[in-house]
Amino acid sequence: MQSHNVNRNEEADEATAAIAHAIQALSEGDLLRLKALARLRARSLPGIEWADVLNETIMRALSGTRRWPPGVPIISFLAWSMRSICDEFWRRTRRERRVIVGAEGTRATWPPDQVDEAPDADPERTAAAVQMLAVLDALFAEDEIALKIITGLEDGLSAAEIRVRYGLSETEYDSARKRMRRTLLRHNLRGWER
Amino acid sequence: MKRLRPEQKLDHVLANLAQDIVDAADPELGQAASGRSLRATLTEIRTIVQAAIARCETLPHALPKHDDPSKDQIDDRE
Repeated sequence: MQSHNVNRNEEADEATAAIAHAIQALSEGDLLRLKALARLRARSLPGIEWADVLNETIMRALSGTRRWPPGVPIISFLAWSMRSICDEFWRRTRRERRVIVGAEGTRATWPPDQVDEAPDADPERTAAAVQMLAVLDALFAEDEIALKIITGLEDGLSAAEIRVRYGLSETEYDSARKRMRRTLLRHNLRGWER
Repeated sequence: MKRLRPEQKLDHVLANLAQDIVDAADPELGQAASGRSLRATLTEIRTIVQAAIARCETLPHALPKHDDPSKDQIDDRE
């Protein structure tokens, strides 16, 4: 049993070392990707800067909280971690708000320790999401096809489904995605004023 | 079609746009960052990354080594 635990700790240490090595060896392109990803995610989190998202992502990766699946590029793994960090931000915010409401004597409708399972929506998260969706609409306001694609993505549609829904050819769709990517990169790398 | 909440819609959009960033070609990234000094941008990112790594090395006890992985699985399903 003890040797089993030692082996697991050694495996965890090796996994952490592999992640640290991969992060330190990130190419310039991957570093730019990291900033663009962190900035995109932070844009939807009130009071959070992209540097905070990036810092938290690296620290969590190195803490061994999440396993780096074999064969997955490190940048994909870190991008996936950022998504989880954003979810965690909202869970934590909601939990803290419920505790404050409870402490102020207002009847809490859901126990703080079970708040993650509460069926009702989080109004603050909803408001932030509406705001961010409006920011994205404004970003692509000049591009009618891009706006259609965003609407399709909002509904969880695939590329093929979006093309069918809006009668877009493959070329029109691909060209719009290229324009969207360039706009997105420009805003997330040069500056996207909060 | 099931009516989605704004946060669910945003999650779909951000996941997709994030994948776009991951898939972006290096020249595209360099060009997008060129409005400001590319060197300065890279130095800024490296500084944050190195600081996070250094913090992990100096404060290993402060990190949740054995967090509950089931929470992450819940995230993934979301």
